[in-house]
Amino acid sequence: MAMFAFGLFMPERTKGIPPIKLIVFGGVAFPVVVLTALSVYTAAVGGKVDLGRNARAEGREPVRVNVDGVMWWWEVEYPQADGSTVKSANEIHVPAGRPVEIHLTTRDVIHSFWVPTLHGKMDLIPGRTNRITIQMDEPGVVRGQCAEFCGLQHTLMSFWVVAHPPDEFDAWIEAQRRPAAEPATPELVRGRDAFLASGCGSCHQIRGIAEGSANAGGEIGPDLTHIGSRLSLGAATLPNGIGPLSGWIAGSQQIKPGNRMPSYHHLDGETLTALAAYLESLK
Amino acid sequence: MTHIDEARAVHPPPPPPAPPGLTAAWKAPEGLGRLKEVNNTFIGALYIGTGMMFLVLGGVLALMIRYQLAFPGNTFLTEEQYNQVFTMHGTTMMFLFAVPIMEATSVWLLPLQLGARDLPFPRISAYGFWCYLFGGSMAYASIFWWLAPDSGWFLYVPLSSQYSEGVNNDFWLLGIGFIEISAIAQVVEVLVGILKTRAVGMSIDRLPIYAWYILVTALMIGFGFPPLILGDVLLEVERAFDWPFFDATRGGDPLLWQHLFWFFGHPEVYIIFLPAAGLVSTILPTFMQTPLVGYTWVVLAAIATGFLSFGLWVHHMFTTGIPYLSLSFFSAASMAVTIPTGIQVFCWMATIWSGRPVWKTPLYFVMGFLFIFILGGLTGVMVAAVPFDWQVHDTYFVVAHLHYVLIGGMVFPLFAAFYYWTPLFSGRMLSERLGKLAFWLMFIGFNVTFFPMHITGLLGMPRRVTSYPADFGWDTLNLISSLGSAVLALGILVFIVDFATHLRWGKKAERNPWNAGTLEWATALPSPDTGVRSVPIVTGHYPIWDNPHLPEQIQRGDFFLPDSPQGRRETLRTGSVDARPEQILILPKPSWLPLLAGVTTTVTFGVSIFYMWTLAGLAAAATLVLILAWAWNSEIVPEGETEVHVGRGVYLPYYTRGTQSHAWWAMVVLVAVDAAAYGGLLFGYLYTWTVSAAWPPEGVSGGLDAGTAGVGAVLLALSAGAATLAPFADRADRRFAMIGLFGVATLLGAGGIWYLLALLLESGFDPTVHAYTALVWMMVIWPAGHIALGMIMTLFCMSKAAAQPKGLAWAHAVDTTALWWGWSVLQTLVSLSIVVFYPQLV
Repeated sequence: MAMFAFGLFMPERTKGIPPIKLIVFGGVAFPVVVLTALSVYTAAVGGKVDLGRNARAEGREPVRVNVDGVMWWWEVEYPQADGSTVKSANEIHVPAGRPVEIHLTTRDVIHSFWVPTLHGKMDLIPGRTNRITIQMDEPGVVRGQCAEFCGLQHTLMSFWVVAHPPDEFDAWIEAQRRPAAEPATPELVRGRDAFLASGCGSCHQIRGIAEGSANAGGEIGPDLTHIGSRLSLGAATLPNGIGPLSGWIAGSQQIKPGNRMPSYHHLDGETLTALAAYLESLK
Repeated sequence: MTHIDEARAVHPPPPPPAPPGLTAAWKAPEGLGRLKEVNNTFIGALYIGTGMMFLVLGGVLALMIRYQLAFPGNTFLTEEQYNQVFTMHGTTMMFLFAVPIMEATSVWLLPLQLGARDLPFPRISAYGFWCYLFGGSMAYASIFWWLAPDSGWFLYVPLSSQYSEGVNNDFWLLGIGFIEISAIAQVVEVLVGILKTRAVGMSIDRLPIYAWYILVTALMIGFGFPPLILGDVLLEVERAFDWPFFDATRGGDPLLWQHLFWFFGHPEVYIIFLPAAGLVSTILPTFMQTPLVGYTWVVLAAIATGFLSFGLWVHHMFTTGIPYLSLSFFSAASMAVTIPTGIQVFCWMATIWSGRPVWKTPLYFVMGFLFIFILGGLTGVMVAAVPFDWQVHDTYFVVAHLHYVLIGGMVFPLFAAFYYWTPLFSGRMLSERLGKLAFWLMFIGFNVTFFPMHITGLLGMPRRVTSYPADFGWDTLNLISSLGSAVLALGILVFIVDFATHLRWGKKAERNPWNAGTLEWATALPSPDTGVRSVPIVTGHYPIWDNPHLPEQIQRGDFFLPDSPQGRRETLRTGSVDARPEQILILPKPSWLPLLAGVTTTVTFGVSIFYMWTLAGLAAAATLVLILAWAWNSEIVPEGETEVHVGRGVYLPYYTRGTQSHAWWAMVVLVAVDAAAYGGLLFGYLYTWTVSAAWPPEGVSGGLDAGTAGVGAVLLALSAGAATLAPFADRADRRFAMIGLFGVATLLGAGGIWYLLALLLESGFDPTVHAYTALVWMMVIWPAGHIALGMIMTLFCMSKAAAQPKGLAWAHAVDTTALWWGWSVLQTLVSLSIVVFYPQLV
C-alpha cells in the first residue's frame, strides 16, 4: 500500500524505475519465496497438531470418548475396558493432562465439533467417523459449540468440556456408571411417577428406574440418569436447577423452538415441581 | 505532444447524421413493444438495472442481519426467519447480483468496446435476461411468505434434503438452478462475440484487456456452473423422487454434494473477481493517462488464475476429515493462486508508477478496491493455511475475509465502472461531489462493518448464529459492525440518488469525457441505438490514443458497414485470431419470442417447485415450441446478393457454414459446457464407487444385461455415423440425402433409447433403494435425454429442409444438430462402458 501511495502522491519519483522490474520482483519473485516457505511451514505444523498421533508415538494411549451429534444436542459415550459404555450428554469429561481421542459421528445432519480454546474444528458427517484429539492441561471447564450450520437451533447447540484432576476422573466415571438414585422423599417419588406416567421414558432413559419398564428406555433424547450432576440444560441453553428444569419441561418449545421435545405445559404446578425436583436429585 | 495529449485536444465538428436505412434498422420499437427489443445494449442496460435491484434487495437482508446481531439476545427475528434471511442474503448476492451483473456489464459494454453493432446472438441474451429477471424474482419472492431457502447458501445435505420438509429449498434448487442456465446462455453469447465480432485489425493480441478477462471468465462459467447444475438436478431428484444420491443411510455420500458445490463455488469467486479486475485494468490507465503496463503479463495472469481456481475447491472442506496430505496439496494450490493475482496487482502498481493520477470519482473507487482487496488477499493466504483454517473456519473471520474479497474485489470496481461509463449510457455525467461522498461513505462504512469481524471471529463467534449471550465479549464489536453497515448502506443510497437525479439534471457529457483510449469512447454520447456508426480499423490497444481522429472518422462513416440500405441489422464477422473481415452477419430484429419463452420457462420451473408435473410438462412443451419457432426464422439469406461491398473496396458474403460460422462455434461451446455437466455426473458415479465398500453394493437385487446394452450401443453408434454424414450430403446440395440420413439417425436413435429403457427396466433396479441404483439410472437416462432432444433437432432440420422456406437456410441447423448428436451418442457409450461393460470385464 505504501508502494501505491508512493506512485500516487510522488509521481515524479517513480518514473525512473523500469516497470518490468517491479512486476518481476514484486509480483513473482517475492510471493513465490514467501509462499513456498509458508506452505512448507504449515505442512509441518499441521502434522504436529495431531495430539493423538503424538501421544501414541510417546507410548501413551489416549482416553477414548464417542460423541454423536444430534439436532441440537450432543450424546457422549465413554467406552470402558470391559466393553460396556457410560452414556451422558452435552458434557465431555476428561482427565486433565491426558490426550482424549474423540470419535465423532452424527445421527442426522452435518455438525462440527469445536472447542475454540483447545483445537480447530472437525465435522461430524453422516456415514463417517472422524477423529479429533484434545487435551486439557489443567482442571477446569471450557465451552464448545457446533460450528457447522445444522438447522433451526444451530445457535443453541453448545457443550462443555470438563477436566478433572487425573485421580478424580475414574471416580467420576464410576459415579456415572451407577444406576439412578432411588427417590428419597414422597415428593421425589411423585416426581418419578410423573416421569413414567407422562411418557418421558419413550424418549429418555433413566437407568435403574422401574427396571424393565418399557417407559424408561427411550434413546431419542439425552440419557437422564445423572441429569442433576450436569452443568446446564438443553445443550448449554439454560443453567441447571429445579427452576430451569421445570421451565424447560413446561416450555421447551418457547425456550428452544423446534427442538424435538414437546412442551409439557399441561402438567399441574405441583407435579411439575416434583418432576423437576426428582430430576435434580439424580446426581 | 504525445498522442494521448493530442487526443485531448481534438474537438471535431458535429458529425453528419447516420443514413436513414441504418437508423431505421436499429430503431427500437416504441411503447410496450420496446420489450420486444433484443439489442444487447438495451438488454444489457435492463440487465444491469435488475442486478442493482437485487443488490438493494440483498442489502436489505444484510441490514436485517446486522440489526439482529447489533445487540446480544436480540429477538428482532426468530431462528426460523433469521436462517432464511442469511441464506437468502448469500444466495441473492452471489447468484442474483454478483455473477449476473458482471455478465450484464459485459453484454452491455462489449459490443461498444469491440466495435461490433451487436453480439452474434441477441435473442439468446434477451432470453437469458428474461429468465434471470423472472427466475430471480421468483426465488427471492419466497421470503415475502417466509418460505425461503433456509439451509445456508451452499445448501449442505442432508440438512437440505432429508431434514428439510417444506418447499423452501426447492425454491433454491429450481429458482437458482434455472438462472444458472441463463448464465450459460450469456457464456455462449460473449465467448462467440469476443471471438467473432470485433473491429477489423483487433487481432487477438490487441483485444481490449477487459475482453480478455471476460473471455477467461466465460470459460470458467462454462466449466464451473455445469457441475453445480448437475448437483442441483441430483439434489432436486433426491428431494422430489427420493433417489438417494447423497443419503448416507442408503449408500450415498453427503460429501459428494460438497465436492460438486465447491468445484463450482471456488471458481465462482474468480468468476466474480476477474471481470471486476478487467474493469479496473480498463479504468486505471485512463485516470493515469498512460497505457496499462504489462498487458501480456496481465493476460497470462488472468488465464493462470482461471486454471488454478479449479484446483483448490477442497480448501472449503478442510474440516471434513480428509487426510492431511491431501489438504496440504490444496493448501499449497490455494497459496499458488495468489501469485497470478499478485502479478496483476503489481501491473496496476507499475501503471500507477508510470502515470500521473487524475483524481476523479472512478479513480477513488479503484483505489478503494486496491486497499480492501489486498487486505482480503492477505487474510486469504491466512485461511489457506490448514491449521489456521481449522480454527477460523465457519467463524466471523471467514465472513470478514469473504466480504473483503468480494465487496472489495467486485463492488468497488463495479461502482468505479458506474461512474466511468454512465456518460455512455445517458450522455450525462454523474456528480463528482455526490460520487466522492458515496465513495467515502462506502469505504468507511465497509471497513467499520467488516474489519471488526476479523476480531469477533478470532474471539470464537461462529457464523450463522441467531444470537449470542452478552458475556462473551462479542457485543461491542457486533454493535460497531452494525453501525458501519448503516453507513455503507447510506453510501449506496447516495449513489442511487445521484443516478436518479443525474438523468434529469446531470451535466451533459462531451464526447470522450475522460480522454480514454478504448474504442467505446469513440461513439457519440449517449451511445445511439445503431451502436458504432461504422466498424473501424484499429491498430493497437488504445485506438483513440493511437489515432486521435478515429472518432470523427468513425462518425463520418469512413469505415465498414456505414449503411444498411435494406434496413437489416448487420455487423461484421471477423477472424477469431487476426480479426480480418470475413462475413456480414445478419442479426435478428426485435421479437416477442425471447420474452414469451422466458415466461414459459419460468412457469416450467415455478410449478415444479410445487411438484405440479403435468403443468410443468405443458409449459416445457410451450417453451420448446417457441424456441423452435425462433429457430425456424433464423439463418436469413438475402436472395440475389452473394458478395456485397461493405466499404473500402472490401466485398463480403452474407452466408458461410462450417467451422468459420458463429453457429458452429456456439454449438462447440454448448457441447463443452454440457460435457462439464456430464463430467460432474461421471465424477459423482466414480466418487461414490470409490468410497463404497462394494460396487454393486450387497443387498441390491437385479443386474444389468450386457446384451441389451450392447444392442443399444451398436444402434446408437450407427445413428451417429448417419448423423455425421448428413452435413456432408447437405453441403453437396443433396438435400434429400441429408433428410434421409437424419431420418435413419432418428430411427436408430429411437431404437437405441428403447434398448436403454429396456436395460433399466429389466435390471430390476429400483432407483430409490440405493445410491448405486439411483446413479445407474441417472447415468443412462441423462444421455438418453440428450438423444431425445437430438431427435427433436433432426426432425426440425428435416422439416425445414423439406419445406424450403423462402429467404431462409438450414445449414447451421444441420451442422449443429450433427455435432449435438455425435456428442450425445459419445456420452451414452461412455456411460454404458462404465456402468455395464467395464464391471463385467473385470
